[in-house]
Amino acid sequence: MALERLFRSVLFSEPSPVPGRLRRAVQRMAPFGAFFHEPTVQVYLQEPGVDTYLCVNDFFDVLVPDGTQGATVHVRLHGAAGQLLVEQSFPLQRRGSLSLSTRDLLRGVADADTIGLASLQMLPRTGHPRQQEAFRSMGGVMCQFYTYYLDEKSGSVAMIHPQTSVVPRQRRPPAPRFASCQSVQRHGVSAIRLLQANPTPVAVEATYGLVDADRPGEDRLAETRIRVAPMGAGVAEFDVGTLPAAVTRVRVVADSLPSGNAKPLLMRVYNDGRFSMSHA
Amino acid sequence: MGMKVRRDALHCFVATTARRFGLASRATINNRTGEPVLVMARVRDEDGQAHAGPVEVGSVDAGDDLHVDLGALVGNGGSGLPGSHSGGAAEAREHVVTFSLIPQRFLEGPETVDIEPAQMFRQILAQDHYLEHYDPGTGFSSGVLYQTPPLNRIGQPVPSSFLMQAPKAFVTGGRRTVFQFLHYSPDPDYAQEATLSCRALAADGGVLAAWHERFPPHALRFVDVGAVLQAHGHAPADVTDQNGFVYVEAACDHAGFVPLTWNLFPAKGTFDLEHSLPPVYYGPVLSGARKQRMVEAVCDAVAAAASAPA
Repeated sequence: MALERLFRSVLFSEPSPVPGRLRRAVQRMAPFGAFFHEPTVQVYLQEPGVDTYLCVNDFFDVLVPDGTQGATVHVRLHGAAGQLLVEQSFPLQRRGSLSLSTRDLLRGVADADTIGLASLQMLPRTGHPRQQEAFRSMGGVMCQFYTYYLDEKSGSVAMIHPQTSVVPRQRRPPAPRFASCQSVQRHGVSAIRLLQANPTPVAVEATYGLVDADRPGEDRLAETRIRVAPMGAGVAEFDVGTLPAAVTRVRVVADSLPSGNAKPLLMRVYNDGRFSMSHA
Repeated sequence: MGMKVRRDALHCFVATTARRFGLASRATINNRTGEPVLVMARVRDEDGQAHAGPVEVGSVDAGDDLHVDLGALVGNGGSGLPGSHSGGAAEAREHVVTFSLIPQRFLEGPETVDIEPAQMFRQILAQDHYLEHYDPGTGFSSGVLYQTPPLNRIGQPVPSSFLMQAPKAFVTGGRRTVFQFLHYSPDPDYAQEATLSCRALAADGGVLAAWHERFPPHALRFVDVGAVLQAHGHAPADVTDQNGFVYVEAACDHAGFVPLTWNLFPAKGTFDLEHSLPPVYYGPVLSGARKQRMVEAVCDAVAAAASAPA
């Protein structure tokens, strides 16, 4: 894995740390796994009654017209504190699909948390050098999957695509200020929860706030600060009932994010316990 | 090299209603382009027929947003906008609203402007916009952030193409997945029809169903996965994986689409909305001719499966 990461840093960094001719030589020497980006990550929820499904498909078969011989899915589940709880691999048949219940994966794990970080990497099984060459020329393949959250009791459902991947070395400071492009109407909402993943090797502290979406230049209505462990996940929560009555629409802001696109998931919790969720 | 683009086609956001699910709809139009814009809107019905507009919705300063109720914009039977065409029956039908964010600096000049493609995409990519559907009674809502790329533009050198793939259809336990496909173009005069090639695959990659959906220009269609499986002789519970999922692909090699995925739990009044990921999210070079080849391969496979004996 360290060797693959080293090759990735040469192949996919912009600007490249090596000149063009040398980069092409590196491309010829690089192991196959180096042409696939770091694992993609997403928060999973394991609160009472809630299960999270990691849904993958053999998208490689679509990307390569000659097709593949299936794929192997590598899954890691980390707890809220970043501890590795589960590490398993699963075969995918050609054009096949797979849904993995985190509840099933965590069954019997002693220190499982109610929230954590799932990371997925997929590698195709190829039979012909031409197929491998097709993947080598894709500019860095990213494993995408969907997480499907389901609360059996309230019937709440949410399906979300990942926003970010593992950051093996935190070379830059965390991403700058963030303001969500969505606004939340408070009608019927009792709480706003932000589920934050930290896919980096260092702990992050971030301050989240709510602003009046109709008066964005004014002071924050509420603020909370959380610490998220490396490869862990955390929750920032706001009680909507404490907001001024005149405020009908709010927007989530953050002083920083753990990495470039590591936006939190925004959960709207309604008075009757149902929730809806999307990335912020 | 610059290209000529209608100023109301430079930066668009397309939003749809969801009356069939008993929901109202609203959109948040964000302006993070760094300059003030005027927001205009055109409304079409679900068959792509012009319904109302273009009409001015509002001006948005840089860094500000515009919050729009789609029902108020479309109106009951479309009576809320000048030049609307339909009567009371329209309330049961869906509508498509295309918002245009026109930089103020272009308002005084000609309707068609010269612009570098990179400059145009900077406008589009500067922000997401937000479409949200909600139950007016309880306030329960779900929405999705997305951008609307300039698909199916008249005169574009290479036709748009489309690919949606991911295992996100959930069709058991009282839940259902409905895919929403919009055959979109920012050009009002776009007149091409399109055929979407679709297939549902089992967990082992076996084809459960292969079919085509036909779209007039600008048309909106909904595909209920459970209904499709039943129409192809499958009880959904018999063909999903152990968790209730089945995998769906859709592709078109001659037109682009804006897809959204609905996950609904009608008995509980809950629902969710999400967009799919185009090929460039899997590999940055997967656009243009390379993407076209991928898409053609899927369309050919669907055609072969759809014509195979049952």
